[in-house]
Amino acid sequence: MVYVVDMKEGYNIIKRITLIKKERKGILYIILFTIILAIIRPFIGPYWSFIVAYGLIISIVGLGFNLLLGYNGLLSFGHAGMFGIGMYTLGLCTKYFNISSLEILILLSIIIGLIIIIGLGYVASKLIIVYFALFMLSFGQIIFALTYKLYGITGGSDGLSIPILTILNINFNSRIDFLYCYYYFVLLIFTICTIFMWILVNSPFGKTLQAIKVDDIRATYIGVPVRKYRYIAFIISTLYAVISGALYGPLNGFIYPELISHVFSGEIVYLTLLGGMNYFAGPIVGSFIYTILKVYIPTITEYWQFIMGATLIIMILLFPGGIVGWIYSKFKKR
Amino acid sequence: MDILEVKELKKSFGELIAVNKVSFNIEEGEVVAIIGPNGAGKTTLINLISRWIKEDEGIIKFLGKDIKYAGPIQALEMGIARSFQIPRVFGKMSVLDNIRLAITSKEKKSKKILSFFESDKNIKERAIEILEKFNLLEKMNLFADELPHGDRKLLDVAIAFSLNPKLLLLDEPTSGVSAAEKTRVMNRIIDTIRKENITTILVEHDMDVVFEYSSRILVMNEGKIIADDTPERILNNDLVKQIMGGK
Repeated sequence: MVYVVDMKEGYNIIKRITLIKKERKGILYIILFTIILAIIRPFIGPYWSFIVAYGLIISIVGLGFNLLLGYNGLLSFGHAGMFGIGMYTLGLCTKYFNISSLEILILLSIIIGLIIIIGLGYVASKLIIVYFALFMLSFGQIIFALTYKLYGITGGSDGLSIPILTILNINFNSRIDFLYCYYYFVLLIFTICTIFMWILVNSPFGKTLQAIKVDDIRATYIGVPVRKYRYIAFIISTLYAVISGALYGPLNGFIYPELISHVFSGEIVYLTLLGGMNYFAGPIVGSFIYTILKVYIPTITEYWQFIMGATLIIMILLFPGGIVGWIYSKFKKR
Repeated sequence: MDILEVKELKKSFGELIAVNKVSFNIEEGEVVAIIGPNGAGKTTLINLISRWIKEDEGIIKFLGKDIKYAGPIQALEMGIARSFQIPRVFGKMSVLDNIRLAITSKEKKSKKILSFFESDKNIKERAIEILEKFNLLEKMNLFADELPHGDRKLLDVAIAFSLNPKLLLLDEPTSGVSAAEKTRVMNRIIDTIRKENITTILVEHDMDVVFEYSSRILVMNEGKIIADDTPERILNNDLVKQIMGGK
């Protein structure tokens, strides 16, 4: 049998694909990334499944964080506190209400998180630059201190263990079985969060946020209520941190206050700058590289914090656009 | 019909009285220039009318309505748009996006989260029309901060223009622009304004620009209006000559 291949038709199809608008292409890339991660799961053991899931979770908080920093010019040193709200809401609900359904727990964390965020954002959206950074740092430290000092409720520095939860009413016999399924759950949430964020930053709202970052006075004089926009951005950004925190507990099986101290807030800043704050993929790339560095460098040297700090300084001095920025510039030159 | 009425307007910053009991009216369709030496209170007056700052005393009526309690956004909704002495454009965005952002905001579409900014063809077409009017079409894909100064000034005015204003406040549209460029920039601006019959208040330093393009001139000195007349008469006013250094 002879197949007649219409070259012209084939060429048109290729042409059409390459002509897909930048925004739609972005969604395609995200879905492609998800499919790759979904396919590789059975080929990687529990160790790497854990690391990838961790990277995905940290990517969510990074994406949220960068909505404020990269797209609106606000530096938050308190996202660890928001992460903590999600993490401890989930943890405390398993402990005191014996809820074991993952979906309900995540939903509860989002609701409790939203109540706090809406109140907090009202005040935070009045502040800019250093005042905003310090306000967020203080808030993060309050959450840290509460989890640390309220020993009777949170277990203080002894931490809280998270039992194996059920996903869609499915029970799991072991942590590893749970992990394998949880990996996909995290991947799903990551994909939804990433696609939503991609649409958001490319929407009129997202563009307007970027305009506010460049010049808030001009933004006011094209009729943008700047504070209201900052408020909405704050809510979405911190909600991502809450979701990310809620996802972390079931993965690790154990939570404790040190996870959400100012050090973690600093690490979120670190990974965003490492990946490139001016690029959408920056915090995602940054999260994965940060996760791998954090796992491997301590096995090489006990001065791992020195290495992490040094890499950031080198990055900022040599590649101010971060890793993604550096890759972009390579492509542009060609 | 008077589009703007200013009565006994006063604004001080500490000891300094920047605008001192200023009164004037502006009719629809007029292009009025405000001139005066540095520190005369011209920009303060623009900031008051555009509601960036609030007056201490006096009344500003726009289209017959007192705008005492309006902020910049309400003023804009009523139809007052402005440009800035040091051009305020969205630097790291394309020239086209600068205009699109303004139109999107004017149409109250900025809040949309679940659609793509670039997919609104209607807004894009209108943005292109405006860029054509201001001769910026060829540069629409450049970043706004890559533009030469004169074009950035034009873009700043184009942003204000795209908000469909009834009253346009232009704060020194040619400051910092080279002498050779000035005529090109002003011709573009004034042509467009006149075609659309937009009432304009023009603050300027450059006397040539003022006399060529405005139909009426207010002269300010030390917070007060000392002359309000046609360009020809202002030219022969001795007090004005003295204050403006014989220009």
